[in-house]
Amino acid sequence: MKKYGLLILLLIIVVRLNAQSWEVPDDKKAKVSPVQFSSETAKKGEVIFLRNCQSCHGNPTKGNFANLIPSPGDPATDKFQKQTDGALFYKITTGRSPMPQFKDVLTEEERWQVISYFRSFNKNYVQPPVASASKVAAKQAALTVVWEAASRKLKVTASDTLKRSLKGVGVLLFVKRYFGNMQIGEEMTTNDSGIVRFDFPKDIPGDKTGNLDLIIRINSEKGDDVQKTVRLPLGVIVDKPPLTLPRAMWNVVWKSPVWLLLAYFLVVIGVWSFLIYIIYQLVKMKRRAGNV
Amino acid sequence: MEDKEKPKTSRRKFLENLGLLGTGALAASAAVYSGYHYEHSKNKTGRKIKVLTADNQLAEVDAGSLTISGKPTLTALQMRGREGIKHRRWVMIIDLSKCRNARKCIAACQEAHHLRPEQYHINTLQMQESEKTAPFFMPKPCQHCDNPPCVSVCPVDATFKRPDGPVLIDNERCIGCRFCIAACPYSARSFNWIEPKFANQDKGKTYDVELNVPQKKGTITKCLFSSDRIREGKLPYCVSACPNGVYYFGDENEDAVTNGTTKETVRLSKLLRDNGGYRLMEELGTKPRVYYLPPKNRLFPFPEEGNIIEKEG
Repeated sequence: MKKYGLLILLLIIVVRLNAQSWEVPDDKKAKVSPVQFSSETAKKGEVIFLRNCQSCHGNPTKGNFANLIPSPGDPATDKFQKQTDGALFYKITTGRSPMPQFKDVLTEEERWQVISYFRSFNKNYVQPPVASASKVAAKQAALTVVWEAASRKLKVTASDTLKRSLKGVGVLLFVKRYFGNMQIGEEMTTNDSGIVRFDFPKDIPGDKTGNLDLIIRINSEKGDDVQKTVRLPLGVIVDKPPLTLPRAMWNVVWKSPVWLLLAYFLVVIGVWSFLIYIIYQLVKMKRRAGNV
Repeated sequence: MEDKEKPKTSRRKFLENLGLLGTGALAASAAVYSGYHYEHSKNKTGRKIKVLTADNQLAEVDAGSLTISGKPTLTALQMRGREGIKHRRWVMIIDLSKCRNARKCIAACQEAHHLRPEQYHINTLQMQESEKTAPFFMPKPCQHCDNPPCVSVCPVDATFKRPDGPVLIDNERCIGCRFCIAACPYSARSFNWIEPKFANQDKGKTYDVELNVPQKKGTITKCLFSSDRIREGKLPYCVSACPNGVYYFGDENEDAVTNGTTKETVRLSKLLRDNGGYRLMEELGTKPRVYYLPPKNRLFPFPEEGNIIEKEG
């Protein structure tokens, strides 16, 4: 019995040790919020938290988080509050099993609002200076898109309102799909003349004419992303037949096989005409008998 | 000789026949008229309602002949439910390596379709292939086969395959013969043996084929791929309720599926190729529209009783 107890204890320790090592890259740790935290951002964060996080993390300060391995923990505790804003942001963004990633669920602004909500439980917290606005100048950007057919590349030029090229800006390319946008390739950074070139795959299915809705986005941390949608005939033409079944034996009239319908009606008409013929003959016999 | 002397029809006989014909014709026309009248008046309540027409004129119409646009009729819903969404082929992927038996999908499904707790459109099964292999949980909805045995056996065309993939059931047509339950190799269907959960609450609601609400006693109920949600461009109830990222849902024609938890959209073909996707009971030739990704890297042992993840050691 003791042996088993020890074994289980060991197992738990091993699991715990594994669980607690969630490494965050140093550059991500150093990341700071571009949003000034306030009671207003905390309020918005609370709404998001209740919708997306509460089912596992419970209500902060109550400690009523779910019993999972690794433990989700209570965001109001030291375990959370000792981490930098950047580390929290990284963890919310990427997730790890069993915590889902929130990269495509919450915008960057919303993730910062959640962190702002966490910090509202920490009286000793002092927010580091807000990220400088230089990287966030995307607001007035304009995007031009050119398709280079020879090299199968999509050329995107980013410039500001004064037609100056924006260099060092992250640009993402998506294809519009029914339930969401599918990213093509990785995020790319514009060169000195504000240009990025995306390799475009050959085999993305388009609509009946091969058109695709492409979404080009400049990522900005303040949530004021610049986005442009263009429709280009870059897709494979897809025109598949509907999946409805052909005519079958056991079904309504318009679905039953033609030979069955024919056979059925021939038999019915045959039987009825035979009966009518007999009655006709009987009538004829009676007439003749009456005449005699 | 005698024949010639007798006239063929007497006046009396002629009048008799005329009278008979006249009464017959009168009865027949009365029957036709009353039928016609019934068809016209069956929706009339006699109660007049004042309505404002599009060109701002006040008009009076009978309450029965008024259909409020935005609230589709049963027939409209049935037609819509049969037609589906053009140029789509819905497909679902279930990643078994991520399922932790949170049962959120089941709860969301039962709530949406007004099911009793013991009625499942989707269920998570506890699986273990053999003694030494890792145990896992397996969510199992209707497989929405492209060659559905249930549809072939239905004698009244109540259950049908839609052009865009889902296999639906029209409870207004269903006669409760349960042939489809017997035919389904995946046990995906269940029968309303008793009055449904919200029988009173749902009274008078227009039946929606794409939602199966209100549920009807004596008919089949089954997974519908949340056709009503797909129509709105939303992911199915179960898919968006999962907290563990188990489900992907999307359009095969677009070669893209979206994860319900992370909302990330990925290539369907790549996901299946990279992760060894498979379908259930391929040998039956049913061609399911639900794919599974194998239960690799199970992080936790099989529960003795209930769920060990909830107990933690």
